[in-house]
Amino acid sequence: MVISKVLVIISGDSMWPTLSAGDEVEFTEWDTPDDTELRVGDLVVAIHPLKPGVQVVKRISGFSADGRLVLVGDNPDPLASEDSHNFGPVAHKLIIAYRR
Amino acid sequence: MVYTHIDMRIEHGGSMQDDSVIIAEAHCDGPCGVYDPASARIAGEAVQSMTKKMLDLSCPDTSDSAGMAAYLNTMSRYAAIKEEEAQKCKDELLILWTDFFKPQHLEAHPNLHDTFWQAAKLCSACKVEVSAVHAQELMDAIEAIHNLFWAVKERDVPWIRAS
Repeated sequence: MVISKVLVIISGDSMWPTLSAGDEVEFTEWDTPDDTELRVGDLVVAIHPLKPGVQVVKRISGFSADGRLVLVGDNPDPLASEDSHNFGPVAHKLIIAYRR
Repeated sequence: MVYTHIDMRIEHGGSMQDDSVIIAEAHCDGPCGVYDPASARIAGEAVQSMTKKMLDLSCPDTSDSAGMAAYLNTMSRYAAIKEEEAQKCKDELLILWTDFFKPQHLEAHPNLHDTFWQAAKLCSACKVEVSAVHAQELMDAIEAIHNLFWAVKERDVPWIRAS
């Protein structure tokens, strides 16, 4: 299996203090369903479930009862992140890349 | 690690522009950029204006019933507006404090919490009192918040009063 790396440029502060706006971070491409098993704590780049043209970077905080990913920002401010609190759990097929 | 076609990266917008570079959004709940301390400044100016009008109003002879009625009516209206605008000013400041400013802003502006706390207290003082001193201190506090806000936004926006 070829492991492809992608460069992710961060826009916004929802992942502060882990990632800040303008940071350039290397992620590993992820392809469902036979790829590496995603874990709680992994950072992921996902397609926004309500905005198909937008990619978001969040952290996996858990899994919903139906196995979808619960994604949240690292910023402790409750208004600092648009994530699963707003758009709900995310299907694996929307994951583009991860970082462990 | 070598990334191919990095020169094809797009501007802020959140689309994948090639196979190697992704712009990933890490944004907040509300749409960024809808906040502006101007709302608090306008309310603060109204508080200061009403305070001055109340202090400048002369009381007529108390035996002049019509004059006293006009005086009390005018004074009551000034007081009501001062009360309302001071509360509006406090509401606008609290929205900026609790919604716009985030924990990361404290790193560059460690006095942020105290600045807002003192400003909110001055709103209360201006409601309770008829104090030109506190009204001016409130405007000074709002100006400090204006400067703090635009520093965070990295924009040079001058402090301009409507009155």
